[in-house]
Amino acid sequence: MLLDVRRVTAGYGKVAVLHEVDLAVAAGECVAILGANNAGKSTLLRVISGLMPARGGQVLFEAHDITADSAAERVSRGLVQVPEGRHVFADLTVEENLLLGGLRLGTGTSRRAKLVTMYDTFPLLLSMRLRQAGTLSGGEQQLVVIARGLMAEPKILLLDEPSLGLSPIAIDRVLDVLLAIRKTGTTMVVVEQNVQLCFDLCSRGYVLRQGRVVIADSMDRLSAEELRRAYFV
Amino acid sequence: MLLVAGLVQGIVLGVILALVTSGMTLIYRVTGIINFAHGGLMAVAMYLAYDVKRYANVDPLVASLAIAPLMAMVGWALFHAVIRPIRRQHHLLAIQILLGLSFVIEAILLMRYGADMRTAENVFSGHFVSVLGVGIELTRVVAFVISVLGLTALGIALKWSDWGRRLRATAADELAAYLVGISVIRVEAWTWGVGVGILGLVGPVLADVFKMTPDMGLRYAIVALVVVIIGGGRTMAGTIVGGLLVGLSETLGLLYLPGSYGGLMPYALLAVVLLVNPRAMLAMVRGR
Repeated sequence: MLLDVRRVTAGYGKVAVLHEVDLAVAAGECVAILGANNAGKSTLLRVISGLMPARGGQVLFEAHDITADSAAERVSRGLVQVPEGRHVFADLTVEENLLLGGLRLGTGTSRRAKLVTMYDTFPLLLSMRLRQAGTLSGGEQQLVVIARGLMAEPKILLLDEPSLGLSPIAIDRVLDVLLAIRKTGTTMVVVEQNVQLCFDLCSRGYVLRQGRVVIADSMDRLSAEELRRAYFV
Repeated sequence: MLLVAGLVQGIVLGVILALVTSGMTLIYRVTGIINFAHGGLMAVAMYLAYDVKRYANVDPLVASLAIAPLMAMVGWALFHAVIRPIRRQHHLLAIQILLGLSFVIEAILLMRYGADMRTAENVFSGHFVSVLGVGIELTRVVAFVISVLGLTALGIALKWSDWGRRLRATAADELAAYLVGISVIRVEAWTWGVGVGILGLVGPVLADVFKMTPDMGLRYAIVALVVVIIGGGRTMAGTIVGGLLVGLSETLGLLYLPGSYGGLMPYALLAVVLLVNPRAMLAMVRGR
């Protein structure tokens, strides 16, 4: 298992949000995390990335216990998250955003080389490279933060609601990008409300409800009925 | 003729204020805290230069080479010891602590140096130069040059260096900074170091430009705060504009208004800015 989340419990103040969540991702897989609002999906990703401490349980990455690791340490291990709501560095240019994403590669020639490859893969980024990231459209910003995550050459890429707030055309573009990433063999975990996107992209899925895993199955075995019950009952 | 004198002096003062304030702007942008001890720390740097001059007969300009890194370490230590433990709590707590620090500094300076006004002369003291037909103290011009160099270096570092990029990124979006692997704590510590270190760089020469009294700290902290608010508190360019506006309004005010009403001009300007754009203050009070 590349990523192993074991009985993780977490919360904010007195409120517990995650209750003994188990989740495992093997190398090369694309796993979806589904659930209604406030089911704890984003919280789970925060705990995995080290933005929030776990009150109970463990997070293992490549068999190392990273539960106590700082967020920066996890990034240096190759555990990279593209957060919900994009979070571009608004005052900085697209190129500066990408350079910062590649911090894991150091500040020298390998990062520059990676930047060149990124521009080859995403010509749209090249055309926007000197624009201030805060002035871009939602879809363009999403592309920037996905590319920013890829700059780190991640071993696993976590994506928190990549389609949130985007137009249907932009969502299609994002899906194309994610499919292309999947083809390169990069392990991915996608938190999404857009169930259709997960069906197109992922092989396995977890459904969270009120901080607990209620379904863990392969995507093609997940029936519409099961999903509806998990979300709404 | 008087106007030219006012403009020249105002610009010189304004640029100096801009450099002094740049540290406060940096600290505010990156760590979200208004450093109310900024003036007090500048006073410390100035009195240190005074002591070095008195006991070792070292020129303050030379001493600043040592006092700058020393103040940088003070800023760095201040962050780790005082700010870091409370930075997640209400921002008024940090302000109270820094105000308290300012009072402590004032008391220590008073005990050690007494209440008399002091200066520390440097090699350029007592000389005058003519700029655009205006007579101006050479030390002021030297302080102006140091400020121009300092602001330029800071601007270049922020825009082109990797350190500067990380700093701007942390200021722009702390969450994203964590997620690209930036050590946010280290960036914040360095910001405090540089912000206070700047005071150590320009403080010693200012010991002959501003008159030193133990209570000067809070006064200058408030002037710096006015510069930050007028300048928008977001960019270095804003700080420079703010500095120039404060420097010019005070100098021209003192020149043309009766008595010392001129000293009120920066605050009148602040009131105008806030009336026209109340968001400036709101943004600062609410924090980042």
